[in-house]
Amino acid sequence: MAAIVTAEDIAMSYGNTPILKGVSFALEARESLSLIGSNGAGKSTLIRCLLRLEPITAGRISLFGREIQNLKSSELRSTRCRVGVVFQRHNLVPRLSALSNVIHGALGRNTQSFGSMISGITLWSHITAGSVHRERAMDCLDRVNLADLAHRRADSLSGGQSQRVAIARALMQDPDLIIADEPAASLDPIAGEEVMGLFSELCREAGVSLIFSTHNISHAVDFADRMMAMKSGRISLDGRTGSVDLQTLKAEYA
Amino acid sequence: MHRAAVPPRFGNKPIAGFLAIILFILVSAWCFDGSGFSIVQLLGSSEYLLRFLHEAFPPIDEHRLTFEQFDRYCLALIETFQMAFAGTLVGLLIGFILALFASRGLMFESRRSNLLQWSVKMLISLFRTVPDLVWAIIFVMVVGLGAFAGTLTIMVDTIGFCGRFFAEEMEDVDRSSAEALSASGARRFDTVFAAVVPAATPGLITTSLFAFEKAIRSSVVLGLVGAGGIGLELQSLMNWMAYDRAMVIIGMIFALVLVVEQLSSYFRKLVMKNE
Ligand SMILES: Nc1ncnc2c1ncn2[C@@H]1O[C@H](COP(=O)(O)OP(=O)(O)OP(=O)(O)O)[C@@H](O)[C@H]1O
Ligand SMILES: [Mg+2]
Repeated sequence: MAAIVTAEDIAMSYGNTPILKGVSFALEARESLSLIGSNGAGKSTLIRCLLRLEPITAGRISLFGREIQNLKSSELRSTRCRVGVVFQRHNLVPRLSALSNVIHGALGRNTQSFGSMISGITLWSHITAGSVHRERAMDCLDRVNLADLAHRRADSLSGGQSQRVAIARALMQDPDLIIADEPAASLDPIAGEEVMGLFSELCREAGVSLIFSTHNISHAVDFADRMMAMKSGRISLDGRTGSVDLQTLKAEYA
Repeated sequence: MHRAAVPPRFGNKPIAGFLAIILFILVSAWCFDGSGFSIVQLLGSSEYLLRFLHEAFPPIDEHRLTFEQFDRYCLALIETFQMAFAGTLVGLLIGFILALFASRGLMFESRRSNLLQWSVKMLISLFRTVPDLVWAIIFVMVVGLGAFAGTLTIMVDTIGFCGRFFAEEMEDVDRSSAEALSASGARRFDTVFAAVVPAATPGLITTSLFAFEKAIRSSVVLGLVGAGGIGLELQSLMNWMAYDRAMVIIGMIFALVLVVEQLSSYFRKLVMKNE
């Protein structure tokens, strides 16, 4: 099966500080991968690089078989819109409603034709969005159990609620790949399990691939087929979740 | 365990801070000297002030102010308001569009747009730095005497004011939500209007209200150069040394400015409360 994500020996630095020092891995379609590692190991940075939000200084990254470093901006957009991203800090638009924020997930699909210029404008807010998008956004909110807060402004939501809005926004993209940076970090244990369960259900049933980082070892083991550990910018462990034992994992944080 | 040392109290460069304070004091002394600031002179001229006040009061007296005159002043005051409102509205629109391009790294990747951003910024500065009376004289020359010249002046003034502050407000918005949208494949244009502009709205509204207050105040003077409004009446009365009726107009202007400022700060509070 073709790889959905391939990273070949990528390196990245902020200024003169090298952050990623040669990271390589490949993710197959439908595969789910968890990413662990201590604070500052470079997990978020790796995720940003995969989306070309940060330039890499060496190596190659491809998404869906296209090397993203050299894509024109329109091609980059059509690649990015297949990836649903959930950021560590949620990154919602504070003054808009939860519903509007979820509807924004449809903006990416709307970049191809010229007529989309106009329909893109309607997606700025739920007030102007078409009823198809409004309905779909409500479905996405419902999947993260947040439909009753649809009208609430994003900056009035709790950390966990915002996290779930961000997840709903990613679902709105109808993505082929979900990349989530600590998606359960601000959720209570039950909501965390639910969200992780939702992700792995999407993998099994909708054929979505998944990369998520976490500090929760049991999430990393239970909700992924495969896990990778990062240690100061390198991958220090990569294996099937069934095959790594707890002792080895503890050593990764040393 | 060895831990890092406590950072110094006054940063790394305490000397630089002291030098800056001394420099500030020297510059202030120099400027007061050059500006001819003198309490003595101000008190010494109180006799002229008293004469003005003596002739200005009582301003309303049937021998002095006729009903027709008052009617004309009212119309001129209304015209002033209309000029300020219309000019501000058009200026806000154009200023906003220019601000989108003047804002660093907003509409385009920063490295590609540097030149464009710089030129738009310069254009806005030009609008702002040329004084409104100068614009008014130019527009009177172009479109002739009357309210339209004043309206255009207000418009240009507003573009200069709002272009700058709108751009700064949009620069100050946390870009992470815009980044999240562009990571999902949204066009730049859409990320600006879906993420940056909504986050900047309170600031944009506040600035717009300030712009309108400013426009009301400056539209009063524009009449002095024939660009419509109540300033023209005021000027001719002052020239005729009809200080009593001039006082009526000053009172009317005061009332208008006061009302507009009160309303504007009411709306501003409303916006802040919804923050
Ligand atoms: N914008 C930035 N500028 C400079 N250095 C940065 C920047 N962002 C991150 N870093 C540094 O890069 C390193 C890796 O950070 P990163 O956020 O990828 O870690 P992480 O593995 O996600 O950690 P955490 O578990 O805390 O989320 C850290 O040392 C951090 O200080
Ligand atoms: Mg992180």
